Amino acid sequence: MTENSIVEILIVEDTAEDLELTLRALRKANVSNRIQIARDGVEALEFVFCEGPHAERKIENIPKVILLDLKLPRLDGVSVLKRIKTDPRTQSIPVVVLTSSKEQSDVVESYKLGVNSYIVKPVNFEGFMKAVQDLGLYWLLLNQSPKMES
Amino acid sequence: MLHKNTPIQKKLMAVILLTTTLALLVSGLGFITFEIITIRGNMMRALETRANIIAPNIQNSLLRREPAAANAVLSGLQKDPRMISACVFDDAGRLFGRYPATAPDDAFPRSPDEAADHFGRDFVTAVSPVLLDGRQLGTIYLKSNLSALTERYSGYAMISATILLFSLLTAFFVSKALQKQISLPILTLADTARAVSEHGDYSVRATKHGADELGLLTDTFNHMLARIQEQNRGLRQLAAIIEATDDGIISKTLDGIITSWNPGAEKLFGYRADEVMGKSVIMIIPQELVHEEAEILKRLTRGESIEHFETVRLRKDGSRLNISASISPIKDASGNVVSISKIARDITAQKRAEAQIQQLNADLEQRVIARTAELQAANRELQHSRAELKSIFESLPGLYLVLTPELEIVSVSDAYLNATMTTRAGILHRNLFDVFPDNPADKNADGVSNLRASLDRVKQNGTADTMAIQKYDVRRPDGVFEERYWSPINSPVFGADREIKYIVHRVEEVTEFMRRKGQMASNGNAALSARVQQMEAEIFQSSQKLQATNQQLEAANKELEAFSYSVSHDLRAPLRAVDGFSQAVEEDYAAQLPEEGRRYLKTIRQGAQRMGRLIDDLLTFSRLSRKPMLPQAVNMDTLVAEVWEEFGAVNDGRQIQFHRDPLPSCLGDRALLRQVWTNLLANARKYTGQRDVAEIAVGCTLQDGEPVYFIRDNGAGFDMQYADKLFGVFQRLHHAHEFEGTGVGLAIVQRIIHRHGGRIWAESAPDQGATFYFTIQTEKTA
Repeated sequence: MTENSIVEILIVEDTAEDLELTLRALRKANVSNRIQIARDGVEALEFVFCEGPHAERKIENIPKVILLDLKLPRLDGVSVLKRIKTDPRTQSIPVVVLTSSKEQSDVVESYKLGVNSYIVKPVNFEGFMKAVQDLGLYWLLLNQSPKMES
Repeated sequence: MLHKNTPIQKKLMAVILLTTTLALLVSGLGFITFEIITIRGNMMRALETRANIIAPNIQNSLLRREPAAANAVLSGLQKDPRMISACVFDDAGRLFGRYPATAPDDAFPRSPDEAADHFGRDFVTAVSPVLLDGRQLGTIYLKSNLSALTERYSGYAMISATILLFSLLTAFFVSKALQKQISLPILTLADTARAVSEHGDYSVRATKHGADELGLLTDTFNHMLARIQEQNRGLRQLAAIIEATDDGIISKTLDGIITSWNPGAEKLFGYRADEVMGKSVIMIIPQELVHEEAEILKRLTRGESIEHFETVRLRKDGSRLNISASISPIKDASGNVVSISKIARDITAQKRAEAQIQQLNADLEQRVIARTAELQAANRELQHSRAELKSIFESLPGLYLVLTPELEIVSVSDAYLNATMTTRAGILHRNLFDVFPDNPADKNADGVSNLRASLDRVKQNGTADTMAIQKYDVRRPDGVFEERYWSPINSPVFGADREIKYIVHRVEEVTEFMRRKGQMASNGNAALSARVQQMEAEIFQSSQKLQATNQQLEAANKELEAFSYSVSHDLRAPLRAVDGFSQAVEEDYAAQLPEEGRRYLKTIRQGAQRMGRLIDDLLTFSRLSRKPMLPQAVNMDTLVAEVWEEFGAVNDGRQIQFHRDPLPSCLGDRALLRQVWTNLLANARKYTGQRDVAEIAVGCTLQDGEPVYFIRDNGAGFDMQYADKLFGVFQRLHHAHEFEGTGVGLAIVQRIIHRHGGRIWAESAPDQGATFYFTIQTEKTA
């Protein structure tokens, strides 16, 4: 990741298998946007708010969408969501929550914090397409993003 | 001759001829008169001339006084037969000569003075002097008859008559030829009018012959016919309406004589039209209402209309009839009221209904008044008993505190205030623990935490909670804490919505008791006091222990829940990997795998998915125990219909006959009961899968007065000897290859039914279908 390339999708996921399946689903949906991966809640917030290893990043270059797992080491997904959705600089970023079951409490709690969509894992082609539709992010499916080479 | 009824053709002819005749007569008469006057003048002058001619011949005889000579001259007059007589007077006025010579004296004037130019009835006379050198020798007198005149008269008459005759004939033929132009259009018009009047056919039209006044007349006439035709149509419609309507439509003269009476009136009043026509309308007015008629007439003659006038009239059979009458004056062209029309409607039924409504209204009002009074009384009673209850509560010898679930103090007894050294104003509407904190000086104080735990248990379980004896010191108004021991019990008070509305905290102060125990120890009754003290200590300790255990148990329960939740989530992660990557292989490398390999993959995925379902069901099952119940009235009919409809959305092409009897409502948690029906109906569908026509029936029977819901199917059924395993978790009575399932569904159903205080059981035989029964125990008071 170089400084001047803009990350368009942030995936926050700790389980390697789930991550791989998610990346595979994106690939199958012909998504070739630049992807950043965070393995826990702290890493995710560091990236979004340009702290720690990402201190050089500009916060104005917000990701176009965040795929967020709820169950994460260190800082859980709900806390991450709360930070992102309460900060005026980041609250407009669409967040798709990845849930491991249809347990209602997860979904309800996420919605209270302004979740834009959710996918029940494993993330497969159909589930990802559904989320894209919910968000109206069809541009994600274009092979070339207009801002890629700025 | 010209009678009114004479045809117009003859009239025209007569007029023309008469006019011609008159014109001719008047002009002829004028002409003749002029002629006669002229002729008579001429005759007079001719006679005078003759006298003048004769005069010189007479001179000599006069001079010579020879009358014979004069007579001879005069006799020359005989050549003219018209001459009657002639004479000569001498200068002395004496008769000198005469003609005819034999004529007597009296045939002449006695003297020349009497003679003059004169027209008599049938004669004319002329007088001329006989002059010689300016001297009058005598006078000649000539008298002639008027035969010349008469001849002229008859000549004129002949000519006039001929002209008249000829003129008349000419006029006759000319007019005959010309009058067609006038009479033909009129006659056509007359013929049309006759056709109209004879046959009442207003559709015929007169032919127009020109654009003159007659043409205009024809047009006007045709236009009038069209108008009449139109009005006629309207009139026929009106007549049809009048004939057909149930309303009585009557017209009458200003003195009340009936002039028309439609079938509606016949029906209404019972009189046929021929029975009332020409009679006074008084016959249908009851005696006591006759005055109405005069009043009505007065208003109508002023030109007013009367609408919806409700009154009573008599029928032919003497019965009385309530009618609503609309009466209007009928006016002629100049606006004078000439007759009256009246439309009467039978409102007997309406009147009766109105009376009933009035009665009902009156009753209702009475009832409302009575009820209001009752309510007011009840309200007063209530106010009164409320106040009474409040004062009773506050003066109870026991120590009571009433709290909201949020632990706000809403009510307190005087005894409690005394025991805790507080005032009502000081603690009402404050939080319990703000008012009663732990004694900061006592390191071991656990009153607040124990009481909070007890209150939480009350809120969670909805049951009373008795606490062990507590050391809970109270703060004096001066801020110093005093040692106190209490024996508390907390109990819930439910509201109408079955939610906890209040918690009653009742305590007994046992400080004195505890203190006396200490005194007894110092009083020397050592053995007894030691024993009592020991017992008290034991009780106190064991209850303390019990309390602690209880709290530990609760914590453990919570941990267990968190654990099972977490486990089921963590279990899912590897499962997802198994299923997800199997799918990836299937999608990406299926072509490179042999048939057998693909089947293995499929089996792996099925296994993973089945385990996913098991975990889901386990989660649901464990959630059942921790999910709080929300009891409410549940309409089972709607619930079952909804659930079945959701199944219906899954169109798997099966033929299922579903029958649902009406179900009584019950009190329970709707979401949980929905789960019950969903699982039971899903089972019924599943186990009838091998039937050509599946039959599923839902109903309710009464057993010992208790409603028992049931669901019956004609599916695979089961052997009753395994019935006890039916509701166990992961217990299955069929092989997975026959019927899919995790073995949790019925366990969930039983758990829910038990939570509702109900029972569930089943009846079946292999291949004979199964019937599941369950009851829902609910509080009758709710």
